Amino acid sequence: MIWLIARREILDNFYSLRFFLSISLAVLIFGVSSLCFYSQYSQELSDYSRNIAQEEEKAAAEANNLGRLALHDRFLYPRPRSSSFLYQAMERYLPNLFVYDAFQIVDFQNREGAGNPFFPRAEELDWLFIIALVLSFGAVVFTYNSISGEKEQGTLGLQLANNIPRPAFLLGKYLGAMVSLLIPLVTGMVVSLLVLLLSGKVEFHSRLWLEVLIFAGISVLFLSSFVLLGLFVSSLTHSPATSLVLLLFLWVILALLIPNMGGILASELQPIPKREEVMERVSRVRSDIADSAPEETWNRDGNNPFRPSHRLRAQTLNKMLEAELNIRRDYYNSMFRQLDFARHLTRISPVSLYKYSSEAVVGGGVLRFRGLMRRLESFRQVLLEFVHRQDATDPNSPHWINPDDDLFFSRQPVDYRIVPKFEEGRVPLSRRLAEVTLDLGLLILFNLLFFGLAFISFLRYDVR
Amino acid sequence: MWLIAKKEFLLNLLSFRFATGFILCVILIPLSVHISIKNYEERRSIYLKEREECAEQMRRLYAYSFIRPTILRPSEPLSIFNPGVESTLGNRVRIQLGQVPFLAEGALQERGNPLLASFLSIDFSFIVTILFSLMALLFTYDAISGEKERGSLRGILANKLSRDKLLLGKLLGNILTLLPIIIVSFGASLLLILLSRGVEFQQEEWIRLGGLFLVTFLYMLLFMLLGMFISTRTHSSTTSLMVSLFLWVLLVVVVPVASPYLAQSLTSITPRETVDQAAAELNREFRAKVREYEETLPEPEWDAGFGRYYGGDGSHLEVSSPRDVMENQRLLHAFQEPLRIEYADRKWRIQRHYLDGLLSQQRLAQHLGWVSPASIFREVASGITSTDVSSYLHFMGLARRYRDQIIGYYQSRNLFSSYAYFTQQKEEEMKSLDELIYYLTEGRFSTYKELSRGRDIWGVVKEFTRDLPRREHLPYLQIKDIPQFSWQREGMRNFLRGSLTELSILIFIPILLFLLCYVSFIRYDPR
Repeated sequence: MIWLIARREILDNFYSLRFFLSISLAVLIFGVSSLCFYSQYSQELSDYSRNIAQEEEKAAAEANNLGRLALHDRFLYPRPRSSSFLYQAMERYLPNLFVYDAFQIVDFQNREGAGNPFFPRAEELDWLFIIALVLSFGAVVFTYNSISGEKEQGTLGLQLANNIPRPAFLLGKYLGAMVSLLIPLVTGMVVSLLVLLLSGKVEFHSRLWLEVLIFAGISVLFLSSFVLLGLFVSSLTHSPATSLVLLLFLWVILALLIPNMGGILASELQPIPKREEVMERVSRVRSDIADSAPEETWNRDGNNPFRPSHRLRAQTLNKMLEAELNIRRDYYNSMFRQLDFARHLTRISPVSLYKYSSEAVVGGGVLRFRGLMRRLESFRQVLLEFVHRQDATDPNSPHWINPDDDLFFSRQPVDYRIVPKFEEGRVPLSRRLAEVTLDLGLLILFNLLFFGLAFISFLRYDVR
Repeated sequence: MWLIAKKEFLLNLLSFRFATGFILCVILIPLSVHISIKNYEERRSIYLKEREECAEQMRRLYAYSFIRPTILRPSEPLSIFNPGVESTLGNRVRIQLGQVPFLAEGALQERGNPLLASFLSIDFSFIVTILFSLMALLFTYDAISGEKERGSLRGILANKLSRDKLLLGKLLGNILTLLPIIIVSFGASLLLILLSRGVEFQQEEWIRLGGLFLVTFLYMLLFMLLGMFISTRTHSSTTSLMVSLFLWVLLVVVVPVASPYLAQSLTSITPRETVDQAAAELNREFRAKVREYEETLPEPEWDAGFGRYYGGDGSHLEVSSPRDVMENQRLLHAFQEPLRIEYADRKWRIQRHYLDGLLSQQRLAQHLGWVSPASIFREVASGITSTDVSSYLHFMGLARRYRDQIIGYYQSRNLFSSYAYFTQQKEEEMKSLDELIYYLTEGRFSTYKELSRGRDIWGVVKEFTRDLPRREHLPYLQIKDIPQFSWQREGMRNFLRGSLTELSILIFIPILLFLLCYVSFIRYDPR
């Protein structure tokens, strides 16, 4: 019975203008998106290779002096993601350049030249954009008259006069709308994948295929929530015109407004100190420590590395760095807390949940930034341990390792081949998904909620 | 015609779509304007603080070489309605001899939480582009096809009512319905602005705001006529609804995102890193030439500065160094500063090429966006509110002109080859090294040779209580004739010239759509 209703719905949709428009739009945008992605990804890869090669060259040159190797600023460029055609996760606007040395992560910033600064900030034309905004709109258009339309045409009463239970009718309608929506989705995805496969630039390995599959699964879950919302609103009203207006405005709120309101609301409701204020505090604390250090600490006369005052100086410099890092750590934590708060505020929209879940699937965006920070911090410690080990073997070094001056520790050359190298690596998909259990859970909950609401509403629906 | 308009207006007024749209606008627009006002006030307070700091910095000049003013562009009050690229591009430029102003610093987004960059901003113009266009279509998609479907079109046309009057009546009725929404939205925003203490509108802002109102109306009119045109091309309201909605998604949601994305794919730009490397290479070359010249200068007896301070970009102070050191420094600056300017020009040629690439990409995106009224509206709104790329370029142009004035100031007074460039000492007051040693050691050593014979020179000097003046003891220079920077917003004429195509599209497309509507409706079969 359910399948019969669903089949009728699919056939109805199949010959409808909305289906034709949906599939045309989906194929067009998916195709354009992949073509654009292909050319941009090639450019990003070549930029990345050039930057990495220069970085390597610089680091190798610094290896002729252990002190310089420890102190010189290194740049970490995140590798362009082959999965960014699925979702770019606003990485263009997020910090995408890390500066670090063996003692600290000096800074992270948005790399100048990562995009054209004259473009206003906007979403990227990736799969997520198409599904979250174009196909979810399609879901609204496919379902707004599912119940109210049948009632207006007078066919609802007739159908329910037969031996069709209302839950079966609702499920049939749901399945029909979902299949009608999945056809443009799958067609678009296939077109996009074909373009990318034929381009040969994107390496499709098993991990990427798995990501595509999981992304597609989450997309279906997401679209299902909008279909169920459409059914719910349609079963609330008795005129398709009313349900359409209500749905369209709901769509604008859920898809366009709420997902973007997090930033401004969080800055307003949970403000954090400004960067300049934090830096002022850092320099205050640093100069307090410097001022309270014994007078001979800053005595730099002479170039004798074993001069006892250098030991004091090294100790004070380490203390200053530790104090600075504590302040900066607090600041970064407050940044993360503000981001989490912003995300919590937007979790009332399935579009936001879809974005956050997809971010984990593709391993990009803020999750990637957090992961990189953690891994870079671990690597930095490994590098510092390496510096300590190498320094210990040098009889000409006073071993007063500090973050500012290479005079007081080894300046011997080291073999660059044994210097630890940072590997970006990837967090396993299972761990990435575990970080977004809440979002996936909420997305499922939205489906259940909308289904429950549609079900109750339809049970009480006056079909006459 | 008025009767039709009145009927349409009353029907719309009592409709669910009007109530929903009206409520949504009344809630969302004041909310977004309230947040934008707070952002503007914050930007303004940062600007005022920085302006004071820059002025203070220019009051603390020890020598002419420290004239490196920082200029600031104030935040535009109308950015409350449309932030444009104001928050992503900087507003601060430090005038340097060694660098032609290239890209401004101090972008607002660099000051806050960088992780919140994962959210886009919601502002007045964003809400207008989305909601007003959607409402315009929802009110007009069934203007003709709906009447036909209900069977009322035949009835109306059976009376002595011409088709053009019916069409105009319908249009007028819809305008009368939607115009109050625009008026209420602008009114609520203005009320919030007037109530806030930190925002001040001058006469020009009011004129520009009037322009924004007109453009908003034109934008809405365009979508109304698009809806009516679709309605006259179809015989079922469902068909016209579907076409309208999918066109809306394409024009308002997809094209504004796709056009910059496409432009980036179609044109490639020299990577920024390459530009920076080329500039760094030129910097190295410049330093090498300076070193080479330095070696040709006679070596001072003891090249130590007695109170020597360096800032960036050649700013330098010698408080009381020996005469031969001073002379060397004078010769060095006389050679170095014109060379610095020459190398800045060479760097600028590379950087300008990069900027041209970025701008041509941006222009391509703009042209691709001409198929979307939403993109055009945002472009024009950015122009009206002076938050567009052209306003930024105008600021950078002024910064470059100001740098030329500063250079002209130095050159016209021959300051690069003067002692005043790096010291407050007059030539006649300068002492030789031996005189300085004699003075410092209270007559114990009368020459440098005598002092340096196997001794730790500074150790000996420290034993004496006499000291030479330090920077802290010097008065600040009272220079009254340094050229001042004054910020002048780009005039309305420039805006009109720059946005002529966009404005023409916003004006002529509604006219064209009305004509198409008319032709289509003349041939429409009402049966």
